[in-house]
Amino acid sequence: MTLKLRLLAILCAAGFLTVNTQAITPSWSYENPKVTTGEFQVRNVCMMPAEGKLSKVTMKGGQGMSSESDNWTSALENMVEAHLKTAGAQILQASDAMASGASDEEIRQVIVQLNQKYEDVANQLNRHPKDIKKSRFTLGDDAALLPCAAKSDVLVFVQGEGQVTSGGKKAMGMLVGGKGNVSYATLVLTMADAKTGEILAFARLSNAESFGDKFVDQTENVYGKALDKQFSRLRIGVYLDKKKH
Amino acid sequence: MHRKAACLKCPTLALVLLVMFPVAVTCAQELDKAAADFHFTDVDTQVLHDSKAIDEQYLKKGLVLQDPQLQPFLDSVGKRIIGNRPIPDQVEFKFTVLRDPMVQAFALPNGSVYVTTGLLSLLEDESQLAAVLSHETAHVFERHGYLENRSFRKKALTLNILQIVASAAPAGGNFSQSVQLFGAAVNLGAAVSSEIIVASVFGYSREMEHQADNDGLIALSNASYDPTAMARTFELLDEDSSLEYEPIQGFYRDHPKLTERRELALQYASTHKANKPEADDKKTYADNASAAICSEIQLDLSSRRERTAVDRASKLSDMFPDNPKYKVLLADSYRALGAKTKLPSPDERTRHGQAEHRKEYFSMTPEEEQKRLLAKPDGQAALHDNEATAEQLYKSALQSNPNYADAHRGLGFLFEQEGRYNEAATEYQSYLSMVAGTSMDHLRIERRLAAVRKLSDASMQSR
Ligand SMILES: [Zn+2]
Repeated sequence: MTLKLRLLAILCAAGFLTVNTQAITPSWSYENPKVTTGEFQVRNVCMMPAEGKLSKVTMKGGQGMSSESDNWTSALENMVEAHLKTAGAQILQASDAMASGASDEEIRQVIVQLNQKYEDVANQLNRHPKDIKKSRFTLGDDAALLPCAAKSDVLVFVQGEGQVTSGGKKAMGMLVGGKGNVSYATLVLTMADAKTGEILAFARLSNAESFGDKFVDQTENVYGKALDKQFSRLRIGVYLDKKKH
Repeated sequence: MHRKAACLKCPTLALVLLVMFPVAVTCAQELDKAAADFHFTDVDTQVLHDSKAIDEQYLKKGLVLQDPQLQPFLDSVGKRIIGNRPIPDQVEFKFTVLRDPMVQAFALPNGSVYVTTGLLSLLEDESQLAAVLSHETAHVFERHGYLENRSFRKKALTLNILQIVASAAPAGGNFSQSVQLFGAAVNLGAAVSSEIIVASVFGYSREMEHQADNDGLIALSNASYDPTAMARTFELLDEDSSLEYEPIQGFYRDHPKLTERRELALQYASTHKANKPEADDKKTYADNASAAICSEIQLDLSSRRERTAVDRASKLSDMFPDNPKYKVLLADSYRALGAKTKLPSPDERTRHGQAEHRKEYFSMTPEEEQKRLLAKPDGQAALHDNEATAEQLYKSALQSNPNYADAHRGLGFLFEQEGRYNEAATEYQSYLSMVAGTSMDHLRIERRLAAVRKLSDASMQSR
C-alpha cells in the first residue's frame, strides 16, 4: 500500500469513528406518572444550587478548569431557570431565607444535608431510574426544612459534568480508536417533591462532540430544545394548562 | 496512595526509605534545600491562583462552617503552632472548618488549612487538633504543594482525581458525582485543580509526608503541646475506621501508614518532652468544637452513618449530661439507627461482611436496608432496643428542660415510627406551640401532625 492510500485508510477509519461517537450516550428521562398525568402539578420551583464540573484532557493528562467550571455552572443554572420561566413556573432559590427566621448558616447546613441525601439516593437512582415510577426514591421530608419549600412544589437539582478533550488528544483518539476522541458532557436534572422529598423526575441529557466543545459556552444551543421538551413532558406550568384542554 | 517511590536523585535510598524513616534524612535535607531555594515560576503562580479558586468554591458552595466559638478556637491553635516562624512568601495562614463527613485535613499551598467536621468530631482534645494542624502547616512551610506539582509536570504524570474517585464509585457509575455524598470537599476542590487536591488529600510523596510529621512534631513541642498527641491521633484514626463503610478514604485513613506513622511519632515523643505540656481537657475541646460535632452528627444522619452519629453524640452527651441538645442528638441518632446495632457485628467486620455492606450501600435505599434487617430477629431486637433508648433519652432531656421543643419533636418522630399516632400528635403539638411560626421546621411538623391525626382517627374507627 502506498503512503497516500494508507493515509486515506486512516482518515476513513477516523471518519467512521467520528460518526459513531456523535451519539455515544442518548438522553433519557424517567418520571413518576403522577407528574406526567398532571395529578401532581408543578408551578413553583425551588432551585438547589447547581453543581457543574468541567475537566480537560490533553495529551499531557487531566487538568482542572476552575473558572470555566464556575462559569459553566452559572450558565447551566441560568439556562434551566430561563426555560422553567418560559414554561410559566415561578422560581425560588433554596438559599433564600424568605420570610423565615432561618440564618444563612442554618440554610447552608440544610442544603449540604439535602445534597448528601440526594447523592445517597443517586447511587440507586442511577442504576434503576425506572423505579421512580414506583416511588422508590425519597430524600425524606427534610426537604421541607428549606424556607423555599412552603411556596414550592418541587426542588430542582441541576448537575453537569463535562470533559473537554483537546484537539491533539481527539486526533490521537481517532487514530487509535476508543473513547478518547470526543468531548462529552452530561446534564442531569432531578425533581423532588418539595414537601415529602419524593423523587418525581430524573433526566439525563448527554452529548458527545468530536469537533469543538459547544456545551461549554453554547449551553442554550446544545440543551435548550431538549429542556423545553422535558418540561413539556413533565407538564410544568403552562404545559399543564395546555394539555388540560 | 503514594505514587512516587522517593527522591529521584537518590534511588538507592528510596528503597531503604520504604522501610526506615531515620534514613530519610538525606532526602529530607534535599527537600529542606528545595524549600529554602524556592522561587516562584509561572507554574507555581498557577498553583497559587488555583488554591485561591478552591478557597472561593468552598465558601460559595456553603461548605465552610462559620461558628463564633469554634473559629477563634481553631485560629488560636493554628497561631500557636505557627509560632514566630517566618511566614513564606505568598502564604497567608487561614484555618477553616469544612462541612464534610470525610475524616480529613489538608492544606493548600497558599496557607489555607482545612479540617473537616468529620475529623473534628473524631478528635478528643486540643493537642490532637494541634498535631493535625502542625502536620498540615508543615506542608505549607516546606512548599510541598508547589514542589509536588513541579514534579508532576516533570514526569508528565496524568493523575486525574476523577479516576481516583471512579475507583471508589460503584461499577458502571459513569457519573462521578455519585460518590459526592462523601468527600464533597475532594470533589469540589478537584473540579478546580485535581493535582493540588490529589496530593493534599491523598498524600504527598513518602518523604514529604515524613518531613511534615517530623516538622509537625517539632512545632508541637515548641508550642508546648504534648508531643504524644500525634501518635494518639493516628491511633484514634486507625481505631475509628471500622465503624462504617467509607466510599473514599484519604491520607488520614491510610492504615498501613497510620501504624508506621504512629510508631515514629511515639519514638520522637519518647525522646522529646514538651517544655511545659498542658493537661489536656477533653471537655473544653468538645465545648469549643461543639458546632462542628453537632453539624457532623446531622451530616452523618443524612449519609447513612448512624453508627458514627451515635458514637459522636454519645461522647458529647457523656461529657455534658445536663445539656438537652446533646441528649436529643443522641436520641435522634439511636432512632435513626433503626434495626442496625450500635457497633458492627463480628460478621460485619469480616472481609465478606464488609463487601456485603458495600454492595448494600450502593444497591439499597435506607428504607430497603431497614426492611432487610427487620426480616431477621436480630434486626427486630436491635430496633426495639434503639427505640427504647431513644425514648428514654428524649424523656430525660425533657426532664432537664421541659420546654426543650426539639425533644418533643423527636418523641413525635419516634412515636410515629412506632405507630403510636395519638402520642405522636401530642408531641408534635407541643413542639409547634413552643417554636415560632417562622421556625425552619414548622411546615414539616404541621404536615406530620395532620398526617398522624388522620392515622390516629383511622385506627380509632377500625377498633
Ligand atoms: Zn500530609
